[in-house]
Amino acid sequence: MLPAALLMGCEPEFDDVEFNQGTADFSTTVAVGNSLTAGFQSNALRREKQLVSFPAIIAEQLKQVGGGAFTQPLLAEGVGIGSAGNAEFGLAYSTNCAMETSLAPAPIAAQGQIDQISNPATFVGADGPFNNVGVPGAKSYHLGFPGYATLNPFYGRFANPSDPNETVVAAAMRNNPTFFMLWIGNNDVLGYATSGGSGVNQTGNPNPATYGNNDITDPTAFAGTYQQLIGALTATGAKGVVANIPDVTSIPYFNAVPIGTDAVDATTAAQLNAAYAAYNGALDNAVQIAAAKPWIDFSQAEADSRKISFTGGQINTFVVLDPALTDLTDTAYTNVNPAFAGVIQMRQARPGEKLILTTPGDSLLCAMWGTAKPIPPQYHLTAAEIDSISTATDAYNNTIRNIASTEGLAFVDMASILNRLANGGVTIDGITFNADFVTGGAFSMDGVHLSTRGYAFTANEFINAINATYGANIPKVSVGDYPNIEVTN
Amino acid sequence: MRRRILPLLAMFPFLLQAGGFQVNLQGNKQTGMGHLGTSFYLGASSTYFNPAMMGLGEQKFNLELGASGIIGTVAYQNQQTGITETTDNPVGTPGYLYATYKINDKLAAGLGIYTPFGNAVNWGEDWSGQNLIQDISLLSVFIQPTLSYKLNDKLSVGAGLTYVVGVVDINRAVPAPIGNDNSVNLSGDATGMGFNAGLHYQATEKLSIGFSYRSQVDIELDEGEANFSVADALETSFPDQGFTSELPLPSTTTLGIAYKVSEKLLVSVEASMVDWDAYESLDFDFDNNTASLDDSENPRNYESQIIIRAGAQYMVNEKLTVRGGAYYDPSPIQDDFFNPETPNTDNLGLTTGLSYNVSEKFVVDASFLYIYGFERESEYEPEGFGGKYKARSYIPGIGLNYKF
Repeated sequence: MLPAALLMGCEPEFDDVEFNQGTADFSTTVAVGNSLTAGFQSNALRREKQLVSFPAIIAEQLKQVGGGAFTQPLLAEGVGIGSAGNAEFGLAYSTNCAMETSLAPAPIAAQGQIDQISNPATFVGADGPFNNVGVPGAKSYHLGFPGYATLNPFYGRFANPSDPNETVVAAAMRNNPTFFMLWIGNNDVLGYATSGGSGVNQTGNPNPATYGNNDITDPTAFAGTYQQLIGALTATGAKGVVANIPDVTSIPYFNAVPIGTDAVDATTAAQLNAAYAAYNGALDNAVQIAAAKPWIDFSQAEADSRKISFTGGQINTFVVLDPALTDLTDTAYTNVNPAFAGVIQMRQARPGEKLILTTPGDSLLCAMWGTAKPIPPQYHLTAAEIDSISTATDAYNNTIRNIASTEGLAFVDMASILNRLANGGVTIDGITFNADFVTGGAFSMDGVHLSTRGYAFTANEFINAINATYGANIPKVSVGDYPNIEVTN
Repeated sequence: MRRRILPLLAMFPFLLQAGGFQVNLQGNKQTGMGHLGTSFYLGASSTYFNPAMMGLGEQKFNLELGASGIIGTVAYQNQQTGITETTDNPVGTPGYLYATYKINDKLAAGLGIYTPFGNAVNWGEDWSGQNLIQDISLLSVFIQPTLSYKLNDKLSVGAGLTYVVGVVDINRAVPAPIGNDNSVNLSGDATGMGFNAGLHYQATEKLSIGFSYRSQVDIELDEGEANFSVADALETSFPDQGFTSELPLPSTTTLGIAYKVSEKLLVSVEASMVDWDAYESLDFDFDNNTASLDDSENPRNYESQIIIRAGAQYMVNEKLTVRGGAYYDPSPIQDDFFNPETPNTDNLGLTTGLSYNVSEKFVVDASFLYIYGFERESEYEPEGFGGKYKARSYIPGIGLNYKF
């Protein structure tokens, strides 16, 4: 009466999940991009982290659906190498100026593996071509730039020894890829952001040859570059996946340091207000001076917005230097009153503005930075700078999405994925990830690059996109199988 | 609401057997016929099945004891990764002891000691759901003093109190962002009180009807111990400490009908409504909250279910009675709230058993229960963990009866 099948098998068993490549061909897959593609973490490139770069994680999964070998330009075993010659950062106990001991990111060794990017004997280019050609520091326009290997030692160390001018894209194409991953554009705004907006917003200037390292790439130049990159990567019929650029303000580097302090009591507030009374008065005075001189402009509105005031027992935003403010040390003012020579370009930060991760914590805590002394501008992103960054990012992302759509490529919306991390987090297999610095789990100790688990999570998002576009079913990874950071001392 | 590093230390094991794979094993005779026995007398185990029937036996004194061995495996398959994992459960050995005494023709007293919630699930330390549960083990004992009263030849009533004592031990990983072997052991003793009541009506010589109600028991764990094994850097975030918790064991209402087809053959059907609606969430209150360790409220949102049972017994001869039966036990767990700590699929139970009269006074029972857990694809949505689950259990049991 009961189906015999019910009684068969002593143990509960499942059929294997069927995975397939869909309409894509993963036999030769390449990954093109920047430090994120290279597996950079915690301020350094390091062999053990290269092995869990998100392209390497994906490639391992692709082996179940016809993927082939995936080679990477691995460093020698060691402590890693960062752009300042530093070793990888770990998490270690340190004591601050107030003699409080806490865990904080710190280099795991006094010096990084400098020989790996300086001594040609260590270079691995002869072992190429490599499937992963992610180059730390690369901007969009670097990937197709002949001679980039001589400019960036992180490329130089694995560039083609028989063709020193080979572009990064050409290095990828030497594999004859059937499938590519491209995640590029982050550095086209990141240098500007991490330098506190010290570069130039080059929007409107389509010639990258004239750009400085901390500039924002012109969105039109980005679009042209991106189209060329995709053209090169698809020239031999390869399919691929592309990812867009996260909003930099969603990453811990710009959220770990609060924009104000609640440590000012009523007495201190009164002292500070007394100390700033002269500055506030000078601002009003400047308005009167400017009113009498039609060729200069200083409005009451700017004066009011610059006035500094502390209230005890609540959160006061820090005092910052802002070079975009009207320069009152100009002779127009000092000729009237020489005291204007000391009226510097400062104001209190506004909600939504950012201090960067490397703002010296001890200076904030013990040297009265932000209260009695303004914070230097390289640590501060103004609302206008943030706006420049997000406007450019949005433009790049439109380009990436449009080209992905036109070319029929899989598209990973990393911007919204990281926004989800920054706004409440994501829970996977009982692990909640968010974009909090150190404690959030998704980012590494530099606050910009992902952690190993963050890269594993990213790999799954790429796999989702590939599966959706190509009708494939690539197995994902268990994010929890990848290690967390350990405390190093 | 901000999620904490240790989001929800949500677990309490007492439900493992009852919603879990609802392995009711409170009498080997009943187990042999689909675990029914509310509407007809089968000895001292009536104390559990329907206390109204305690006085229906011929002998003055009835003693019944027994035990079962639960050999159960649950398999999990993640449809995203393709990984299949199975439990490695130790053999569970629930048992029972019943004694009834007929004080006079109308009044009988009884005592039942049984272990309706006692089992273990062990998924292993490193399995993919380790942040939800690694392993859980539970021993619980219900102690139930009971009285029955025969109102007339047809109608009997009975009622008893239940006192519940439990011991629990749970291990799970702590999903903190620093370190790779963070875990917590939660252990403690719990107690609770409840009651049960029954009604038995002998409609005709052949037809009998039974009704029983077992109340909800709110189990309270007042002095639990949470022992964290975490990276040094996390010790201040996760200090060892006490915790409290509470959990409703739902009420069960059963209606059964038995029919004597002949002197030798009896058939019976039953329906049990288990009021799982009572289990909405599991609150977990730590004595020392930290920035990383908050109290938690964990949705369970179980739904009440009706278990249908059918069974028969046939007296082969004076010495031997054989039994068979089946039941269908739908899972109370919704697809979005399926936690591997209680991996309860819809279950079909197929049973068989026998009793052998060694002498007038001494009877030996044996039973065998096979539980087929239907495959389901479910997720514990609050923790983002899901996949396909399947379960199988093999449960042999033996019982002894002594009456005089």
